[in-house]
Amino acid sequence: MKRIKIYVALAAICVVSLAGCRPEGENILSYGYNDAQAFAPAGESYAAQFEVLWTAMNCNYGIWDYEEELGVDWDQVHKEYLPKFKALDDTTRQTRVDDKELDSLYSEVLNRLHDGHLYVQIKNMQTGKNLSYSPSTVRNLRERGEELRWNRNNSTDLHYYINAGEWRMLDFDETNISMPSREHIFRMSKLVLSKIPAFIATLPAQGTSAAADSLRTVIESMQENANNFIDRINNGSDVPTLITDYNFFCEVYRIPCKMMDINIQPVDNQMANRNELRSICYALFPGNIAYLRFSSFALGKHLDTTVLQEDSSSVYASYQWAINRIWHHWFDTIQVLSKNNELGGVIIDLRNNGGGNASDYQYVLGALLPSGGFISHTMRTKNGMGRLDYGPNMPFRFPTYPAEHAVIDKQPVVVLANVNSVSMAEITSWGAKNMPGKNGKLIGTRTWGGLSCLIDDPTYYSLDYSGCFGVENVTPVYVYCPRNISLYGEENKILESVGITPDIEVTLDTAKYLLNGQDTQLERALEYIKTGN
Amino acid sequence: MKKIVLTIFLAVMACGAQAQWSMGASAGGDYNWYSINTQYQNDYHYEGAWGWSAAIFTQYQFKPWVALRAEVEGASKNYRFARSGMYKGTHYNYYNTYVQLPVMAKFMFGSEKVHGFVNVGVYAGYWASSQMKGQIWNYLADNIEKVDQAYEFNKSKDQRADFGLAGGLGLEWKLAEHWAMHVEARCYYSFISTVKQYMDIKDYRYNTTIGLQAGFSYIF
Repeated sequence: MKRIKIYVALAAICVVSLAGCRPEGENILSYGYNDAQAFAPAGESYAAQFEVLWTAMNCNYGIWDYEEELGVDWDQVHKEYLPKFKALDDTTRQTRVDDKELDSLYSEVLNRLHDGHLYVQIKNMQTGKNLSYSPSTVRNLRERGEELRWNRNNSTDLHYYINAGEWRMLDFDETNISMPSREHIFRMSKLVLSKIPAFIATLPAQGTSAAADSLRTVIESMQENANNFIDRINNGSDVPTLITDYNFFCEVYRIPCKMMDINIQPVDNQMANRNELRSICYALFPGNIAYLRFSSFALGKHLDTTVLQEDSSSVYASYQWAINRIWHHWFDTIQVLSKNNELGGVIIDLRNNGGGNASDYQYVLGALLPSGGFISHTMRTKNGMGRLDYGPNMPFRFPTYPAEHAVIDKQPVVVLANVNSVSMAEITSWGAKNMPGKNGKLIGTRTWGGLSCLIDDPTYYSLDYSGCFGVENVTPVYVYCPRNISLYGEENKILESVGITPDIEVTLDTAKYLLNGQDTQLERALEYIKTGN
Repeated sequence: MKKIVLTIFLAVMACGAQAQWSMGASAGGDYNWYSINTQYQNDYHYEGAWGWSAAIFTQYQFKPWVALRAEVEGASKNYRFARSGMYKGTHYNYYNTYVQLPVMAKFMFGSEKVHGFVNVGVYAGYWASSQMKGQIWNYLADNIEKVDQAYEFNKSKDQRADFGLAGGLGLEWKLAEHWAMHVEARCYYSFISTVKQYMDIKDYRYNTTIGLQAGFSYIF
């Protein structure tokens, strides 16, 4: 019995003493949303701000394994840059930390990262300015700057190909969607211009009153702006931008307008929202080739009749009606031609398309695929705060058109893409290369390289405790980055900063395009559909 | 080191007159807990999970009350990841298989026919494989995705070597001159985190496993 007691005592001593051999880890704060405790230090010192960025990126950024493969050592970044940020906090400094100095340090830290969506905003606490970083923009400008810049300033114009008697085209402007907005801005600008001379006449002579002189300067600026709006309307300027500028004008000059007895009214600015569709175009080319081009994946909310705006007389309602009309022209034409076995092919032009909602898949490539969804590739999310904590891969299932429709699995489908095809435009490009009927082709140039998926509403942070953190223009650090990391092909490859490579690589002959609007990429797509090569 | 080896050798030789070799096998079930700090991820839950274990062992008995026992064992160290609240559709198990070598001192008490024993020692192990199986709520498509895939080890992160304390409490019956059987409750308490300290932020995660085994042995 005595021996038993000794054994038990020895065992107990061993267990208790050895149980203390497990070190404990550190406690980490959540940086998901505007958490005062977590973000507070970032507004107090540059070193603390860097620590917040470093730690929050460490926990929330989804592709550290990929970054490691590409040679990024995030711990080394911490070791190397923390002393540099500490130096900015040195109270014996003779000069304040200007934006250029801070920008230079953060550019070095951030531009090494490869996520195609990554956007970082850092507030310089001494100047109050928010500094912005988009590593993928820097990379693409460095590697493919010419193509990127050219495409940003030029959007494909089909008029070269449209023979009015033979080919058909329907684009945004033909629906007269922007007419009410343009008319409103034109009318208000004319009103402002008509009232200015009489108002200036009531002011004391120049040089007699400082207040009157500064008011005169303001009125002259109003006059210049109003004239500019009229010029832009006459020249067919981009309407959403015009609306944005005009609404800003209304806000800035509200008081002078009141002084002139003008009740200046802004335009319903939902159309000018950056997430809205700025252009959509349908065409039917000879050989019954149905063509669709649109600026972003923001179709769904206009095509889903259950969420259409209730006020049918508003400018926004007519905008939605126009989008419906154009998209249905494309979709219905494909349906009719397919039923009659007359469809030559389909072109979806995603060049210069900035991406958008994943659910729009059903109205684009998904409108040609069978109902029930399409597994394009796989994805993973984070499942812990560790840099390399990832959950299982799961299928990335995109919605396809739910109602009964003709499936296009024999006729050729071409997606056109270029360096300015981003996010959903790239995901759709991948889908074209992997259509179940093997009838899809990607033509153009390699895409942007931002192929993952994100939800930027911070209230959804706890979905995976990853992705975007902070609040833009509010917290001293704000980061916009994906939470669902897309993995492509059998090897589950991450293609951030790589993009999707076309099946047929064709660069746009810009000289020909500038000369007469000839689009060599579109021509190659038409040739492929007609010849099969 | 030479002195220690020599001392053990002499001790074994000195006990030679009473010493007995035996070999055997055992198998059973186990239950593993995963200790992890889920930090601010309040609806992440790591729960214990059942598994199996199987071993072959050899034992050298120096005295009627003490023996040295070494095993080669395959054991599960499973755990379950589950989310609660609005994300409760997500739960999957990590089915981890370890190969491990416990070396223990065995202290026996009771009669020769039926006696109790206490095992105390250490073990070294290797994380051989891991499989994730369960389901995830895919919020983008709003459906439940079934998951059954191998966990891909990451060299930077995953610590596949394991080491810790091994201990057990059991009963042994001598069935015949050369045959005995036993049941044992076993515990493995790991000192090695399953993740390497690969980042500047320190993070430790441990397995603790208890098991119930039954087996037999042949006494030479």
